[in-house]
Amino acid sequence: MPFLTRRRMLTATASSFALLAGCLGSEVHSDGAPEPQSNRQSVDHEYVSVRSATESVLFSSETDQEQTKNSRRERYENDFLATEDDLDQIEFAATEKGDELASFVSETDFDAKSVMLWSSGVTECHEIQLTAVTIGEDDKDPHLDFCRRTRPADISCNEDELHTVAYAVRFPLDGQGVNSYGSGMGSNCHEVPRPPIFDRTVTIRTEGEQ
Amino acid sequence: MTTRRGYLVGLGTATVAALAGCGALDNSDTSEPDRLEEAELNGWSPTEVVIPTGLPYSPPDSLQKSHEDRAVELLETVPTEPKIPNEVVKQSVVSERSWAATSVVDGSEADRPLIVLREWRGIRGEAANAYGAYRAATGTSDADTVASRRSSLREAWASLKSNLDYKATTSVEAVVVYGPIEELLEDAIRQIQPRQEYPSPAIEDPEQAGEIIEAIERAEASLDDAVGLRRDFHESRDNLEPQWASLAQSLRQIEVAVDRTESERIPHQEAADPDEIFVDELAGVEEELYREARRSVEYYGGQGRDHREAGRLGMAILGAGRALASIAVFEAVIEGIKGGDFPAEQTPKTLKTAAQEASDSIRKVPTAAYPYLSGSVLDPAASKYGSGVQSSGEYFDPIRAEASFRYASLYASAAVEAASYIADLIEA
Repeated sequence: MPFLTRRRMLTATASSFALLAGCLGSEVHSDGAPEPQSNRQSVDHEYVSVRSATESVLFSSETDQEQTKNSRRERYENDFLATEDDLDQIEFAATEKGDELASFVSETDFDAKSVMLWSSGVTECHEIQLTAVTIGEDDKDPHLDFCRRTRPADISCNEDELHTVAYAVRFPLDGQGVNSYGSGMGSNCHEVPRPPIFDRTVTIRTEGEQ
Repeated sequence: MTTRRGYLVGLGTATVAALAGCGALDNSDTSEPDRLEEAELNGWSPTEVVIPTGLPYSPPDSLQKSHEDRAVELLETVPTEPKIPNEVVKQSVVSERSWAATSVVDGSEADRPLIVLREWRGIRGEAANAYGAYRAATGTSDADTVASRRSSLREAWASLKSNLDYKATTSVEAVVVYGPIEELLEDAIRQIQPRQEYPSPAIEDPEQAGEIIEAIERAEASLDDAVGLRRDFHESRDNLEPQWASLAQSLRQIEVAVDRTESERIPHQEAADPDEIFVDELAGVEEELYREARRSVEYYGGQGRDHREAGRLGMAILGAGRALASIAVFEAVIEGIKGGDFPAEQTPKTLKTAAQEASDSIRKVPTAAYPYLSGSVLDPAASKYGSGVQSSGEYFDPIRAEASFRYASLYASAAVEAASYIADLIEA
């Protein structure tokens, strides 16, 4: 039985999730901007995003390099990097955009932080925005939410042209306990996030207490 | 060619049908009787029924004409081939314009004047959407105009609402005339209140800009109709007297009547479980009819208080009428099922008879003692008849079709009785 690295197991889990959600290789799988689920919490994060009209693949993992992909699917990639070793298995495009991603990721202190890499194809007339960066409240599993919107009207573009966008998002957790990771996509970027619940409490003062 | 409006109506209907159809999945066990096949109907379709109006006067065509003129005026500013670099935005503006232009040509095919006006307000809104999106896409920001129009519309709304004295020749007449005007005011304020900000810069989101301009246009159209309907009614009558105080007093009594009727005639939640009421398990038309009757009681009950507290006296009274009619239908359905009045097996004849009885029942409404009040309370029967027509053909579902016709038939009769009962309370 071939030995599965932790990252490969994670990749397998993430792919399963994507397949279950019916979104692998597609850009939209729900009508509204996805709201963080109630069992997820937003986290502080840093990110860099790039867009390329000429490079279909901005980064790829060893696993993906072994797979045969068609031109549309090769733009979709989702990887979670918990260690320097995980990073070693990623190959970035040897271009300015690839370097930008590689530079951001390599500056990560993997003892305290982790990185999620995500890329997708997008038509020339659309753009993809990062709307939420969350982790599971219990399992701490990372999740990214995006939305797709039309670019400004004065940008000359054609719907038949395909670009690639990529995000590298740094999470404030070391990633060692992460069992799965995922992403979601919505077509509505105007969704106003629901306000948090009112969680203030009051206590009964005992006699004599100021 | 399907118009955008037609498409949206279709979507709405499909959604309702889909929602309503969810329950039907439960009866897909093997014990259910054989369903009718479409071929057994030999191309039969239900009679077309003109739904009686609830308005006691005919509004002049000038109201719908002003919507049409405004829609044309807005569309004239949008080129058929706009110069917009972003192909997606360009196609969106072209489509919006095309849909609106087609809608203007198609107009409304509705039978009742209030529905005709509602459809024309929608067309005017579509035209405004194309107009607003085009201007944003070509670099013109309407942010200031949006703010000032919202402000002036809010003032116009407040003035109209506070000056609504419910002048009519009788209190019953005031209900049927001012109920729809209150509904228009409701539509207007809902559209005036911002739900999203106008995009800045506008060129970044023409779609959102179009939606905001559309909402404002629809608000203005609703206010235009509210003002116009009131004016036209005033011009159609002599000896108008303010009926506001009289309606407010009557409403108290009507609310008590609805509460008492509900508690006396409707079983409480647990007892309303069909297993508690009926010996045999419900299936087919009976099950669908019972479900619909119970849902209507829940839907129409409890709306009155919200309307009264918001000062919508006419809507509150009409809502009470619908609640009472729904209660009578629910009771009749229970008794009918217990008494075996609904055919156990569905045949082409049972479906056709149900449709005929429903259309007869609806057609009788104008001969009632209070034809306009009955017509104003009649809406649920009208929509059920429409649902029956669709379920007989377009979305072939014979069980749902027969249940809809039977519901419409019972409800139309109940509406006449509820209107008469409410009129007695108002006139007491």
